[in-house]
Amino acid sequence: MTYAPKGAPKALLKESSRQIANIIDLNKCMGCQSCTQACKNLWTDRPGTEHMRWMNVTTYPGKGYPKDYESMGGGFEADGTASPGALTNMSDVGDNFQFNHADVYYQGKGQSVHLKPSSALTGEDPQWGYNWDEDQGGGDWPNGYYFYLPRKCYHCTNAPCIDACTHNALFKRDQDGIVVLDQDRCHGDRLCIEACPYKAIYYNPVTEKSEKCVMCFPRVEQGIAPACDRQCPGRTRLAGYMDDEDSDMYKLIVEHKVALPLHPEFGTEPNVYYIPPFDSTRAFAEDGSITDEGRIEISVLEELFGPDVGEVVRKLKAERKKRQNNEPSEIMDLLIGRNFWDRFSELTGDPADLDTFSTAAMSDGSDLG
Amino acid sequence: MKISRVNASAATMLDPTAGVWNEVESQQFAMVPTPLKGNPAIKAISPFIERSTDHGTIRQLSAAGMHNGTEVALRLSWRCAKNSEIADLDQFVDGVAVMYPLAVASSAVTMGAKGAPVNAWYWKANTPTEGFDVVAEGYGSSERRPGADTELTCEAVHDGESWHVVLRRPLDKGNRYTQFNLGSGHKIAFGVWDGGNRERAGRKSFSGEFMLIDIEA
Ligand code: SF4
Ligand code: SF4
Repeated sequence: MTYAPKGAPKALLKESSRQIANIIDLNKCMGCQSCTQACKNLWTDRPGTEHMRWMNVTTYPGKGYPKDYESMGGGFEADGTASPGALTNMSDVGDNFQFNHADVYYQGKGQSVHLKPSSALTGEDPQWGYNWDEDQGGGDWPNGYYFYLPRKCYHCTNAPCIDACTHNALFKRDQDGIVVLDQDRCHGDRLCIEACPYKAIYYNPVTEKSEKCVMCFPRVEQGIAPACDRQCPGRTRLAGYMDDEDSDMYKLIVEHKVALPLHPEFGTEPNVYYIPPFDSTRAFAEDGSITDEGRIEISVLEELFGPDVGEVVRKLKAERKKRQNNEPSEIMDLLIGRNFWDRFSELTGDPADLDTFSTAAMSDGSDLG
Repeated sequence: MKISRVNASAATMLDPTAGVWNEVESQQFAMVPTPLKGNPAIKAISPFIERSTDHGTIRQLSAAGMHNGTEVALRLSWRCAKNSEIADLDQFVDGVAVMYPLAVASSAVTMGAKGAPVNAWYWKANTPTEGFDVVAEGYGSSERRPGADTELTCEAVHDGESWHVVLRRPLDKGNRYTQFNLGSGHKIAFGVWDGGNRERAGRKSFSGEFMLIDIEA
């Protein structure tokens, strides 16, 4: 729906003619945070947004970002009943560390005073921060493991944030299914944050309104992939529309069924899919010899991606075997992505050509953020 | 409740501690949690807020009103710890609202309806002098404009136990929603939010359906 009246039924707010989607290949993410930085520079450098990482990458197993979001509730129960969860606080969302730059750089104390962060909220040593538990991972020695898990708003088909807002500030854009949060309608009640099981909405205490990932809609409108997708040097990303059956993304999600949503049990039908990590470092046997098995238990992946992930991992391993035997594998070709531009179907435009004054959101007078 | 005519300056009326407030009658109103759970109209605007059960901690509010022929002011007092800052992202502030019908059929319980709107003056503790002028035509339809647009002004004190908040506006209708006719009756309702209990939006206590008040000539 493009701009429904305030009392419009929730079903209308969730309608869209098209749906943009993503794949993120967890086998290729190297945790470089280029996506995080691309997003931060574009969208969250305003007062009150310092703590926000609409795009974020943490290591799994771990508490994730926002901290412990997986156990904060939200989304829907199995029968579709709304299930409000907890709110995130400043520490959960990684704080906004302040540094003693003045002391270190400008007071002649460079040798005696060390650069150190303090919490923006307490002024004390931080107790938690973005990527605080990076690389701790899981598994028992010598078979420890971790993988990177990039996350953003999933622009869910059945978005509980849309259901939650009493002001209908959240809705799907008709032309691309991007879930946006209208800053004019938002009253800062944060019911959406309680409702989102991924905790992908952040409160701005300066504007007293909530904000979220906009999937770079001004770029998308002009055929340019979102910044996080385009900046990824790992070629982890594919982007496109779910009705584009020729796209590489569509083939991997729908035809080959090797891309899965995160936590499908939340009931929100996310539109960002993951290629599960299927080829972790090989495990040591008890006698110290190296086995052919990976280190990540399927049960760990099932917790993230649901019961189908075992089958997906089997399929991916079989496909890799084909390539090792010099047999063709469309799945492997699609995942490798030799041509960067094939990964973005309709969204191959160059951001240097972006006309920043002609987005639909600006031309229809609404302020979407 | 009665909005009494007083001989006081606009500035005095705005001061919640001014002696003139002791000269007018104040009335206690029982406040109850808004009926969210199992309310189909609430479920339609948010199945999430419909599940709220732990809201509405404030059960009593005392209100007094006065006018001086040009300005009208209400003083609202209720017991509540002071929550006046959004220091952390999961914090909410105390608030209070006075509601008036804008049509004969307007209901306070539903916050008005299409064609039968309500007007509210809304105050929140982190912007204690500002106030908002709200109009609504049913749950979830409220539109806020800054109190300054209609010369709605507030002043608040917290005495360690209770809030005392004055909301003041010119009597003259001008560009304002609610018309006050001296010497006749009016209708009023109240809502109050305990920020410490994360109350906001429909999570609040309220005084029920509109009640009659008199405005002294
Ligand atoms: S991930 Fe959260 S914020 Fe994004 S659409 Fe889904 S419920 Fe809404
Ligand atoms: S830019 Fe790509 S490789 Fe780097 S952290 Fe993000 S998803 Fe991973």
